[in-house]
Amino acid sequence: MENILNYIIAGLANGCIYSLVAIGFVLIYKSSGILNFAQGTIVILNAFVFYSFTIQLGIPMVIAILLTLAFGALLGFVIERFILDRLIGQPILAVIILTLAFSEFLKGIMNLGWGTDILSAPQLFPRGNITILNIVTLDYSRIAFLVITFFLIIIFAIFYNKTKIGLAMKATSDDTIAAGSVGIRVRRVFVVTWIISCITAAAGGILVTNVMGIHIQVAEIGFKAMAVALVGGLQSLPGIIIIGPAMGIIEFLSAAYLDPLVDGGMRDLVPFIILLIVLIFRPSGIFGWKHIERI
Amino acid sequence: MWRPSGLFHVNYSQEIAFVQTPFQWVMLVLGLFVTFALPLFIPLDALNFFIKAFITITAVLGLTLLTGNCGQISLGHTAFMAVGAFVGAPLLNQGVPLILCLIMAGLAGGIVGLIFGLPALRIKGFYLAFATLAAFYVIRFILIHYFGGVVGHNVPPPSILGFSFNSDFRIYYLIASTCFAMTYFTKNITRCKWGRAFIAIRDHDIAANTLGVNVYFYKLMAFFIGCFYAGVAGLVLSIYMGWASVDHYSLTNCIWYLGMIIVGGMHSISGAYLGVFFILGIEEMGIVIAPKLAELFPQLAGSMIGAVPIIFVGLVLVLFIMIEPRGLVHRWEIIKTSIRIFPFSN
Amino acid sequence: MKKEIQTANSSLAVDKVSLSFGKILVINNVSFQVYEGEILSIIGPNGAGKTSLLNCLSGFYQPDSGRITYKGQEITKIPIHRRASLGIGRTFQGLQLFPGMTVINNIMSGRHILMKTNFLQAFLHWPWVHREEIAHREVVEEIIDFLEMEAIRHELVGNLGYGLRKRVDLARALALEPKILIMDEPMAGMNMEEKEDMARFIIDIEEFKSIPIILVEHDMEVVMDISNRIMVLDWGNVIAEGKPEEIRTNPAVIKAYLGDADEEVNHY
Repeated sequence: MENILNYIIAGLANGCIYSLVAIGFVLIYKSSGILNFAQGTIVILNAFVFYSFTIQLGIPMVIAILLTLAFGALLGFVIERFILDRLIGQPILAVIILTLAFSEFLKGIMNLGWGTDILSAPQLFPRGNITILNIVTLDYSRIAFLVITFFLIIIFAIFYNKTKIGLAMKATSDDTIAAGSVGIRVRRVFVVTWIISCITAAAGGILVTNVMGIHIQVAEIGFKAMAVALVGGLQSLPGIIIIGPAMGIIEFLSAAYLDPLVDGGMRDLVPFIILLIVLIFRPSGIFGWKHIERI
Repeated sequence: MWRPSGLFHVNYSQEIAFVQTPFQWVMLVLGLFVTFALPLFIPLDALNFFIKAFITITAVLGLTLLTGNCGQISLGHTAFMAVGAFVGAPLLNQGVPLILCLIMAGLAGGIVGLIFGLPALRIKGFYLAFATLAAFYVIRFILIHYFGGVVGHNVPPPSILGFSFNSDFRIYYLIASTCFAMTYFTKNITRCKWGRAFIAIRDHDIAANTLGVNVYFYKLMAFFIGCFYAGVAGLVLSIYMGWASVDHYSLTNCIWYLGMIIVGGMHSISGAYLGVFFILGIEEMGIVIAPKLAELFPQLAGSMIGAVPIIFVGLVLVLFIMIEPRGLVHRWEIIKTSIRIFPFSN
Repeated sequence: MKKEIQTANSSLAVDKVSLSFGKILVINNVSFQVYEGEILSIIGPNGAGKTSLLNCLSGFYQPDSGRITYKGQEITKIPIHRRASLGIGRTFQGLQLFPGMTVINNIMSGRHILMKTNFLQAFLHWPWVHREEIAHREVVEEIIDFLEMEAIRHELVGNLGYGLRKRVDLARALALEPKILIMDEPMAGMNMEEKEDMARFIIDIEEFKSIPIILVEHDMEVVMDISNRIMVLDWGNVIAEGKPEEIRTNPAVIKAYLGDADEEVNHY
């Protein structure tokens, strides 16, 4: 019983990161209709940059975090301005391959710059555990995950629903041309979404590598987050916020209870299996809605 | 294709013929002759490049049908290749004739492709791309855990009628013939009602449906056919490597394959050839340049060899899609048109 | 000029069909029949449910209640692709063509159900496949002659103008040798000349192939000129049905299109 609870809490904390990264995707998808397959690579690139700032250059932690977020923002700006700008209205396959090829390119660069060893991330939170009622043991970093993600998501929700640029993003996602014709600067909206998306990726990268170590393979978190986004329903932010932690929990539970049956590896597989099942039976995702196609 | 002006078809049969003009006959015979005489003249390094190219073309032709013609994006293509290799390799080990092994590998790839193509009945675009990506991981997991994947299978040199394909030199002929046979099959599929049904589904599935095309059936068949090619190519690759291991069938390769069909202009056979040679050429350049860069930057030498080709191809693909998302063939058409209407082009 | 239609020979019968999207009732209890050899036009203001009705006939939408029978066989629930082999041809309101194919191949794809090549034969391109391909090509060439598209047969459809595309759409529907033709706004967005051409083709089809045509169209002049019978829809209800001259003077129709004179007064 205690075990199960521990798995659930650990899964919950990990799943929050999925939600955080998934929000990055969904923002871009909602505004420009592009699903960014490179998101996971951007996450890990930011983590590497964070590593360089702290360990290699010895910059104090808080400043390093801010610098990394700034780097994320710059990256988003550059990607939107120089690459994605040309892709609006191109065939979907071109968009997909562009983001994937870009992701491979970044991986190559990271391979050159930081090598292939697993680097241990600078320690963000003091080590130690709290035990609640002798049942659940929580280490500080996981608690921090939960709290930080929670706050980021709230900030995000307020931004998206209450600010002017947030509304402009909503309008752009509904109809780019109409939004442009009522005076919304669509280009600026795209840039802002990319910047925000890459900042969330940076935040996710700093957090997730804190427990997983920094390694190019961590980029697969991007695919898992994408699975979360699709299972939740790409248009639905609440769906993603719910599905992320749920997926994390299922992952940890299956790692604990299914792995012995198939000698390992279930953790990385479960999100994809769930995704395939959901896509077959409810293609628009659990919280998504269907469009009626006009003929 | 390239038809001299003033030459018109006088019957419908000519228009769908594989070879349409005397010039094309000459080119075909010459091309086949050069391909088969090639190993006698070029060094082994270059031969290996061509072997790799022909294997890749076989796989990419499948994607041309599935993604280029039928519009179903598959990020699991290399996984289906692995399925072909993992089914074909044990059969080869047990002495099953090579041709039969190739067919079995193709069928295995095709059937697995068909199963993982099922989501395509309900989703398309980004969703399907991601579903096939998920399929990639699922298949990989199954192969590793239940079919001896990490270690893989040893593949003995196969033989036909006592002729053993036991050197790269000899394997080249096996691979080139497979590739050409598959090219011919691709042409056959595209020039009959099947090819039209595929394009109809890609361009407008609802309209295709009203014309009586059973969209579900043809989508699944597109997956079957495309993955049949993958299975065959996968086995051929494992024969060339002498070993079948999931590591030969990476996601990166699958991305390059899709990049190749974009470079080649998505839906033509000549485009597939063009794209494969273009991207593999870039990759080869990276492989050649990497050691020289490693000398220049000794502190990075460790990861240079692995990383530089990937950086090269990734960068070229990104730039290519940014500049010409419709591929080389499209650019070629524009050039052709501007030459034809010469003084009036801009 | 207009011939009398035998009301005994019903081709397609729609019986009390209703359709709603969520809470919105799009088609309310609509019944009508299409007789052999007639052009039946369905008209009505925008949003009257015309296209939705056609989509029920084509199978894109499943009606919530009611039956659609075709030549005595119920087709309410059969899959879309099977309707083509029953002989129901359809043209579209927008440009639902295959822009990546040439005109020839677009029309050839209309012959899909009539071609028997299976997968293995296609793979190996047996001589039989070749012969079949050519036999069908000859039929397609006849359609091209009929619709006067000889000059554009090798053009990619994506490069054609709007009027010609509509003609390719019609050719493609004719290629499956339909026993009934459903046309959704064949003349939308055309200029005068193109409209005249299209009207001529519709009359020719009705005359030479003697198949019934269901036509949805906004251009009243054309509708009045070429239809044998007109049905008027408003808010999903049939408000009138009859010969063109009857519809022209029907007060309910005038009210639907122009609004009620008394009501107008009350507004001010």
